[in-house]
Amino acid sequence: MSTARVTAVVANLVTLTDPQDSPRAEGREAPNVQALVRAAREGDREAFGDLVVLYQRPAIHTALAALHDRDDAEDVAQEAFVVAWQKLPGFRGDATFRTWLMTIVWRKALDRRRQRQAWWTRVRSGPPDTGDGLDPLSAIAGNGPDPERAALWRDLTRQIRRGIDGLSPKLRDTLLLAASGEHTYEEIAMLLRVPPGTVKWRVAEARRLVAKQVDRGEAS
Amino acid sequence: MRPHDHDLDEAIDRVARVMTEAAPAPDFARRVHARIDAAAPPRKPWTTPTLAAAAIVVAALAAGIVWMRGHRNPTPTATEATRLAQPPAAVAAAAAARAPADAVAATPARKVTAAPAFKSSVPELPPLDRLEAITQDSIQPTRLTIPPLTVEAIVVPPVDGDGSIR
Repeated sequence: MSTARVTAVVANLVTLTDPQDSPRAEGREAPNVQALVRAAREGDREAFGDLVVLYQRPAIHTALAALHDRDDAEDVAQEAFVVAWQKLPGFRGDATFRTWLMTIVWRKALDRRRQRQAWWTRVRSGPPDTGDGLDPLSAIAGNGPDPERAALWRDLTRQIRRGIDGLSPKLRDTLLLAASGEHTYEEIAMLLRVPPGTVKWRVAEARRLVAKQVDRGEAS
Repeated sequence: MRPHDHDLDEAIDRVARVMTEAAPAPDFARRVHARIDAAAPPRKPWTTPTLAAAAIVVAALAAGIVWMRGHRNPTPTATEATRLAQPPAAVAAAAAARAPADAVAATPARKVTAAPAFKSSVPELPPLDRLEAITQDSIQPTRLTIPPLTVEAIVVPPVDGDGSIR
């Protein structure tokens, strides 16, 4: 695949599937969320249920960034919510509830990743399980109206996927957390316990290495 | 920077995003609640101080009881007082006399030897002289006389409408 064709395919297909903007934690939490957290701290299960509904999606996405397996990610997210409920009376509000919750999710996900020795093999052997038996990357490729372009896109996404899988865990985790659209750089910095500048550098470095991998794939 | 770098970065972000994308199961919240039910209930915020206060009260009560037991000076009964005053030989004889006949029969016969006469090593002190009663003169305070206070009225000069004093 020539560089010019890759450019054209990417430029065309990127516009076909615009990502939906995910809610980001900007600044402090909204007053209604604060009220829910206060009520949940007092033992209000219904209020906590609302918080679960509110944050279940970012929790799963965060866990998925570390685990690459939907079932594992959902299980870890549920576990994290249970821990959050148990520890809620001790929540001091130094960070937002969302950041606090995502920190629990991320730690639980890392624990799970450490426990599963076969994780790396599973990731390298195939795409993440989305639960419906379909490769999500193929789903993106299928959006192209031109079959030839769709095939090129599919090839490109596979190369990118291989490049991401080949990254070091630090770079891969940072890139996936940033690309998930669920977190600001500041929130990722809190999750990973590194300065925000390090997060930005890791994302840029991860992109550079993956692009290099794609170029190498083109050359071969 | 190559011309397609930005587009390639976008493609990388897109693929990475897809890798972290998954819709939560419809019964996600219900399963969280089920797990919470299965786990221990959360500790309420008021539980810790209440437990701490209860622990302090219990500790104080226990310390009080121990202190009272340590400082209580039980007055010996008349029998105990007599026994303490008697020499060991007399105590042994009295114990033998009190022992029931069957108990004596059950135990092997043992020859009781008379103990040497008890002599106290504490020298006797001479009796104290009789103390004379102390008489204390009654205190007669002198009456204080306070002259009545006289307060002079404060005279304020009248003020004009513009604030100046006349």
